[in-house]
Amino acid sequence: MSRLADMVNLVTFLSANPGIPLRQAAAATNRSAKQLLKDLDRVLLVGLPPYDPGSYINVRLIGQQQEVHLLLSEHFSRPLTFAAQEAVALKYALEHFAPGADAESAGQVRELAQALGEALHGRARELLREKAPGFVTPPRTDRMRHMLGELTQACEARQVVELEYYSSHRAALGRRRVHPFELVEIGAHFYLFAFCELANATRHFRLDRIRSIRNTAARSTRKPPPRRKTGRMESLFEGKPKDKLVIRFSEQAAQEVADEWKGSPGAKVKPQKDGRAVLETPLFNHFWAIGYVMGFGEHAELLEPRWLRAELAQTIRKSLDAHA
Amino acid sequence: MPGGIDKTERQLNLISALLKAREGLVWAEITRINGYDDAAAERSRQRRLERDLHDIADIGLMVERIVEDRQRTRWAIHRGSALLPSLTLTGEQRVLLFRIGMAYVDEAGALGRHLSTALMKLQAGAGRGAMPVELPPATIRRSLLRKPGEGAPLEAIVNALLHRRRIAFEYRSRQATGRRVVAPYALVSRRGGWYLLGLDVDRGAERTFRVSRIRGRVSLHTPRGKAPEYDIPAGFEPERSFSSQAFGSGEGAFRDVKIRFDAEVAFAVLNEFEGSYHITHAKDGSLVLHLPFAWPGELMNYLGEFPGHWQVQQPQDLRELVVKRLKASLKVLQGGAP
Repeated sequence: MSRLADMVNLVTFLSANPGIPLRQAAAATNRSAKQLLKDLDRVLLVGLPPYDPGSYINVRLIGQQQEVHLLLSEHFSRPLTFAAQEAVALKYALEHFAPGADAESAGQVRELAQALGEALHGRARELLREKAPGFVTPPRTDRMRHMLGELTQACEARQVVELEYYSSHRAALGRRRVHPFELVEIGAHFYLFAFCELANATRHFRLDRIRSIRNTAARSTRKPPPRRKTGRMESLFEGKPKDKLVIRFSEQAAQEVADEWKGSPGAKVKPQKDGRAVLETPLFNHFWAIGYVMGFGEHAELLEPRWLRAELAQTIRKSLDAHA
Repeated sequence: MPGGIDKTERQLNLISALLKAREGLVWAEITRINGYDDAAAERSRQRRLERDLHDIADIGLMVERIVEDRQRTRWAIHRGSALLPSLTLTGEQRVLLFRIGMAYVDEAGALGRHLSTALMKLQAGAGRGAMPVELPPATIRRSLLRKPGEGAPLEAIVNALLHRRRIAFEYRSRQATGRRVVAPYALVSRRGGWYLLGLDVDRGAERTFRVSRIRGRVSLHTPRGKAPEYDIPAGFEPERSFSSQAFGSGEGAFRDVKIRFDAEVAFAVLNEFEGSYHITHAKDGSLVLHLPFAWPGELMNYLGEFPGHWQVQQPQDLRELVVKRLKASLKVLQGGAP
């Protein structure tokens, strides 16, 4: 977005929301409170001829919450119409958000999309009413949507919850008391980012591995750790690596692996003279690695770490026993 | 610095004056605006105005140039098309829009950027007083990214989709690697990765591309082209040309697959597949998942997370294949080469 568009949008937003507290205005306009104060300084320079003291936009911050009031900005009170890209971004966000939201929110999103399609004009109206979706994601089950709703509430209310959780590492169910911070979509899954009393550390819990949730109603006093890029995939692939994962792939699988891993932070795919390939990547968590290697069957050999290799062998034996 | 002030400040002054003047402005009035009132030659200041109007049009604010007679030109904002209509949104809907915005605030590239401005406009257009005093904390973060390696091509494709621009890239199909020019219609997420659906311009037909098979950079086919370069055909349905099966389908996939899961992990299957696939429950808490189609590799990738808790019941040839592959994997771990 250009600086000009950003400033016009800011003035229209503040003109339409007089008295909005500074921090809230900053959050709603996607900037820090410090940046907002800088931008407000700039707004003070906008005026009309003859540019006497009474013809400039005036900014007042009132009260403890620093409620923002713009004076002489009434002509900015209606926002600019949507640029086509904004309309498409909104359509895509609405259709991507709904399938991963709890049933109530998903219904509200659909109603909202319909209302906007009717209320807006021009290209935005056309795009929002266009039936073909831009992003198509797999449907989530009602159970998952319900869990998303329950955990969102617990995160917002900062309430401690008890999870019945299946650990791939132990291949067993267990109970955990956790202090939820936020829900994060990473890759194809949702995770609950929380402080786990059992581990005495923060953990990511995959939602589809949660069997049941009990809200204890106890208020958590745990503070979330400093903000990380938890919206990005790296969140599960950052910090101090637990180990180095090394997998050798057959010639038949080598190209697919090279395609899949290109661009991954810290990962290297080394082609071998005989056509095979060796993947080396930092291992931040190992839950996915066993299933990943098993998916390739005899076309992959987990070389390192040795403890994970032993765990894989154990997993395969258990799976064979189940078919005996 | 032309006009003695910063460009953004000058353009904001111009917009402010145009919005205030319902009937528009003539040149004499524009020369009173701070940023156009300097001593530069008139022709130079008029060119400055033309450049500024171009920038203003880029943010969606069209300014009409009305020639009243040979001597008199007026510049005016057409308020009906340039400004957002009044919207009636409930407090709940405004909070929902806020939540959606915060969920994608970290999303890289054009989606996050354009979404942020769209939502600011909607909040402003919904009028005064409907924002709750306390906004909810941001507790959910959404992302389009499925695999780290898909990040760069995905961002370029999303940008092209938003602007309706054709893209070009090197693509490795099963048969060969070659350059493709594509008008993107949709992105479909399946089995942990993204697939691009669009018109393959050289082949004149719709095609599906696996994003992880794109080699190198995704670029605009005609960088100087003007958006939109195409429209998505009416009636286009991404699901029509794409399998929605969780473990794949098509020629070579196993059919009528039944997998039994014991009571300890049955809930995980329900979390993921209840309502999508037929599931039969047993008294001991175990269940059987019925899949119309499945590819063994994709199935094993999923099943690997539940060691000892699953069993392929049918078809018999899939069961035999799975056992054979498990034995082969074990042999590899015991010293055989992959």
